[in-house]
Amino acid sequence: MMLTIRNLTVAVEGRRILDGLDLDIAAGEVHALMGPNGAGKSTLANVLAGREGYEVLEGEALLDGQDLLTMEPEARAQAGLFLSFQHPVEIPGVSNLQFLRTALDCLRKARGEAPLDSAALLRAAREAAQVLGLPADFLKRGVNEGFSGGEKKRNEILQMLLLEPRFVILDEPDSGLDVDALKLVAAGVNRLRRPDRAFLIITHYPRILEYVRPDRVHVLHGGRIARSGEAELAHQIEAGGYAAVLEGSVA
Amino acid sequence: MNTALAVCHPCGWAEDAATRAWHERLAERFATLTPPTRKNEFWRYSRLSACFAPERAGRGLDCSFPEVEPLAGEWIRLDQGPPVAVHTRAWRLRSWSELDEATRARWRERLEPGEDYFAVRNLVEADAVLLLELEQTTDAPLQIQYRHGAGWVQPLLLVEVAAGTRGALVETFSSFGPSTQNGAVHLWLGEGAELTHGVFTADEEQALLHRVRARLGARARLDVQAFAAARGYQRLEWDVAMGESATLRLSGITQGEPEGSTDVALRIRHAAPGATTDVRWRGLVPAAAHSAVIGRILIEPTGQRTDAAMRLDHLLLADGAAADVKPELEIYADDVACGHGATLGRLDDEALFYLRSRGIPEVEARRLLIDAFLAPVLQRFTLAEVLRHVQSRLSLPDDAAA
Repeated sequence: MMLTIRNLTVAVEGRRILDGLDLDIAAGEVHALMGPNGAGKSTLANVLAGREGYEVLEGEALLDGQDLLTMEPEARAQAGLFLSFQHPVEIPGVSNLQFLRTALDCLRKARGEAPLDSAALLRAAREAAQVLGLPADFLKRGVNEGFSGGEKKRNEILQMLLLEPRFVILDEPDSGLDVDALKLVAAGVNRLRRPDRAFLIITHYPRILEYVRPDRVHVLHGGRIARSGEAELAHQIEAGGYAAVLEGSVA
Repeated sequence: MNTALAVCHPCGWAEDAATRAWHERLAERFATLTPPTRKNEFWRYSRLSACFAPERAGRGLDCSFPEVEPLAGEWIRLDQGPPVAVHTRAWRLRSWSELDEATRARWRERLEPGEDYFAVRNLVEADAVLLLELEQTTDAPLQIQYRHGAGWVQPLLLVEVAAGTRGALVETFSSFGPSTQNGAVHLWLGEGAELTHGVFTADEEQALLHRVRARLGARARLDVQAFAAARGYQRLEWDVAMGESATLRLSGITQGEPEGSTDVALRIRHAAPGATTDVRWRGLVPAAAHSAVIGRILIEPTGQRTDAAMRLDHLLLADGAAADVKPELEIYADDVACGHGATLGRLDDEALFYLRSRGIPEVEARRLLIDAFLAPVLQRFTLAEVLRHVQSRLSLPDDAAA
């Protein structure tokens, strides 16, 4: 397994949000994690990425056998983890190009590779920006500075394309996107699908799953995976809501 | 290109009768003054005790300075007050004793001492009184290197930039022993004159008080580019009087040092119409450091159509960092466009996590955010001499990663 989560129990300000969650994702697979508001989907994403403010009470999360939960956020990224943020932050004064170059240099250094030369980075970044429909002056602008919600989401995908992580968590990559932008984001994900890479797509709605077909769909409820199934499960949720698919499940 | 002029050793004021009488009146006034206390708003956050540790006047005290390579371009070096090396063609440098009576009379009139203890003391006890004049535009900045190392050292520099002339000065300060430098530079910009003025204090370890008094003629322009870093106590003052349609752009960075205290006081007076002031100062404060910036823009009833803005921002890098920031506008004219603001904050945790989540180690992520914080001021630094100094000194303070 690429990602193995066992009995993960997490509290925020004393309240249990995840409660004994188990999840396995194999290399080459795309999994979708769905669930109603407040189910803890983003908590899982944040805990895996190493954001502060979450108390892990029990359990473990292994990426390629490495214990993620004991690592600093940068070490998790260097181990191959990438979180596409639900609400990417704006960082005025740090240009996208400077940010991408620094991140790529750090990741390549951690992997024992030489820094990418500037011309190659510039070429790759421009090409990715064009594919994703980001404005021409995007690389000079501050990270996410003045970007619309859709541009921020596309910038997350651009970073994913350039940083080439092994395990990607997309936290609601579809929220706030029109259908054209959604197709661009989905195309970006599909472009990176490879036998040695895996994805966890967190979403409320099955819409994005029409463009990125998942191998497995999970429903998070009561702090754990309450139901898992094939891609068809997403359509059942669309048709009958969460209540219908969770009926009779163990929560 | 450089011409070494005769090295001169002036010793304060020459003893002509008019100057002697003027100096006696100053000395009498000084006898009535006491050092400022915290009750004075412009000295509220100052740590003055360090200034008085060296008691004696610096003149004649033994002090050895390291041999250093000559600087490139135009430069002057002042050790313990007087100049010891002068390499400039564009500027004319004369000591007070070399001035004619008309010039002396003009400057005595301009040197209104006020009631400030340190300003009056500098005038009364000046080790060196030097007049620098620029009468033709030059693109080469003149570097003025002050070094002090014993007692109280009190250079006084008078600078006159002729009407319609453009030039640049860069002042740098360094110390080599327990001492206090209480220096002043009086800038007199003629009509339409332009001066870019760099101030760099990061090699300063002792107490430093440096006053800049500037009088801008009509349509004159003063562009200040300052970088302050203190391991001891440091106070930088600007007192600027704006002429009609004159422009002041004042950009500064404080880089706090542990146990150091940097104190910046800005007083800008608009008494003539149509002038523009744009002040932007940013400070980085690590643990056990203190930084204060107090700024006041006064707009007299005659200062109509003034356009004035002042932004003072500080980033506290660790627990135990302290900063006091106070921008003030005092407006007595009705047709003005003015704005001011100040922030005191910490690095944004969300931004820090975002950068780290992309594989950037915490120290480097902090460095990126600090650079971004300083960028709006750094972008205004055009003097290569200042930029070179600043870039070599803008290293992340040791405890900033804590």
